[in-house]
Amino acid sequence: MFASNKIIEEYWINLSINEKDIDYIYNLLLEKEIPLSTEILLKSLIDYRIKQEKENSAKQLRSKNNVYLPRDEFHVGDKLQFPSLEMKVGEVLNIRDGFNPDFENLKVIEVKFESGDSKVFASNIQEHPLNHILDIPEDDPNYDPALVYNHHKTYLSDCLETSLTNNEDLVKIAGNWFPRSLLIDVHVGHLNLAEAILEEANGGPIPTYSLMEQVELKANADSKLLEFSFDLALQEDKRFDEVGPSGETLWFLNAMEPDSVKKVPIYLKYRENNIDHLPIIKYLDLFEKNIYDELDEWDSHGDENNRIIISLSYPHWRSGTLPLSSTLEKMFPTAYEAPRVKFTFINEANNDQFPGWVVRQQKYVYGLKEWYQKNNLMPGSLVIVEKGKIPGEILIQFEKSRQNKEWIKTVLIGSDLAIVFAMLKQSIAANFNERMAIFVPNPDALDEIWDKNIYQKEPIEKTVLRIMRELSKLNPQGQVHAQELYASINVVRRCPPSLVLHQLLHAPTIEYLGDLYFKFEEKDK
Amino acid sequence: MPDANKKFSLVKPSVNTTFHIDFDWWQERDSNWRIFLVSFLCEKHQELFSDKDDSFIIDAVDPETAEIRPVDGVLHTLMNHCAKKDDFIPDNLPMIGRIFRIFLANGNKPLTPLQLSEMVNRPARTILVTIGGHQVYKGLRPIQAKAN
Repeated sequence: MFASNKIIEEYWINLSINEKDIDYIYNLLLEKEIPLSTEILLKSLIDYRIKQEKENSAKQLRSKNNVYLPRDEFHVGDKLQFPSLEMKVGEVLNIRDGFNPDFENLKVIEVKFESGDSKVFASNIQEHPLNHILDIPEDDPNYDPALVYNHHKTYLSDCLETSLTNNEDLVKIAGNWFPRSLLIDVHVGHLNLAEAILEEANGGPIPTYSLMEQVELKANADSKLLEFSFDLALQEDKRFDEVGPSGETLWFLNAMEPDSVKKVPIYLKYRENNIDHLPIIKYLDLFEKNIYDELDEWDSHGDENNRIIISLSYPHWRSGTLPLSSTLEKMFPTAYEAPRVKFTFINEANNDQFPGWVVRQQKYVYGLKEWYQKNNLMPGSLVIVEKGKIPGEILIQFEKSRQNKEWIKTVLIGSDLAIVFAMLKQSIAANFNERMAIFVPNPDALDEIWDKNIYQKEPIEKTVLRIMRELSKLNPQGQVHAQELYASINVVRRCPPSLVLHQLLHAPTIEYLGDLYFKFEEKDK
Repeated sequence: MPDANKKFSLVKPSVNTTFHIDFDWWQERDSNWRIFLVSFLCEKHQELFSDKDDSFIIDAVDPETAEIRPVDGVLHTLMNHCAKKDDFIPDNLPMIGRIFRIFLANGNKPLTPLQLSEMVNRPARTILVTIGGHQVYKGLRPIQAKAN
């Protein structure tokens, strides 16, 4: 077959950004004189690459290879490569006029190949499919900038981002890139003023343009460029954090951000265990539909109305957080870059507003500690979240329980910090998931277990067996439901549902009874 | 060159036997066969080839490799151009004439009496009796197995 150097799919899959690409982007930014997003730069780069490759392949093939195309005229002594003969090289020996009523000016060339064979070929004919062998088909998806962008944008964006980040001459702010050399210098005095203004506003958030007005930042330059320069100065100063959702640049004073936003609460810390998730998914699908855990790729799906009911786990209840699982992530505001996004919770019961924070990298939503306490919620309570009418607002509520008291699994802690579960009657405020519900009468005592890392230190297998043993005492059959075990283990250490199931399914002393129920084998009771 | 050793098949042809125009057979038996073929060329090509003798050669261009292959000018033009025209097979022709033109139009690809039956709207049996007997019309013959 004809070996061409056309762009094939692997070209885009294996693309690496080179110096020429960076030069191209740099020049583009200089020419446009405005900051441009990675998306725009990538689209432009794809366009540039396609044009370059088209020119290159045309040049290379025509000049170096001297490919035989029937439309060309040749001379005796010409050396040609023949696409139909796996690019064999042959020399033109003779030329004569041909006769064929279909091809008026047909010339016939006799070609001698390196192997000694001779063949005769047509030349000077315009209508022949071989004439187009070097052409790039118009419908080739690898030459269509829009299709290339759609098919490869994730990888190519990452690639470009990495290369641009490594380039010291370029800076990025709120998703836009610009040459550092064109930026306007922002005096430290303006930054000090910005700090004072944010402090006055309880930390913020305040949009860039408003801060610029208040610090009276002015320069004889394009206002967008000035805003971009100010954004960069704020970003490079550790006193300030950008906390705006996608499309908005809002600034907050780092010192005034809640500790649990800057630092992951102890209850949410997790040391990864590598397990094969594939065989576990079918069991995870049997979990009740209001279980969301940021540590698992598997997730409940929520409902189509963007109203999600979440069953609280102990770590999130104690931290005043919600899990930012893959389903919940879509509900809460996000950002291009800002690791923390500030938004507003609205209590549906009384329209009270209070701040919330999406901590993107660590996958949790902070800001509910007081709300949980005020409403007497407990681990297992069902919390309802819904998107507000205004972007950046999240409605939150719970369903009040009709019963005042219920038999609830209660955690009791011994003086040796060993834990025991007992079914006791407890006051309840909200509807709850029975398998997830755990009453914790003394959370401070439980904190000691977390502070001392008692369970975190030991292998997960051991924790699973210990908690399973305690739970199996709660019913005469000694059966334990996986979801119940998941909720209970999370009272003493952070653990995703998949890991609990993996341990249950692989423990030699535990027997699976079906429907997610497990029990110790008889001899191990 | 015609194969002098070619033998007739002794197997009696059926409606499923494939037939074609056996130009070799014709060449051996009728010295005017080319003049006969030229008469099938369209007006344009008859005029174009008027100054050539009836055995001229054309440089046929291979549609894939563009290699040149010398071919019989009349046959090539007839099969690739003139016989492709819509009016090449008039409805009112006798059966043999129609079958002959059908083979010219399809590039002399073998066909059985059954297949021809649909094309000429005559029973396959009738076609078989006509072109499968001892008398050979216009070179229409069963395909012969090559003699070893």
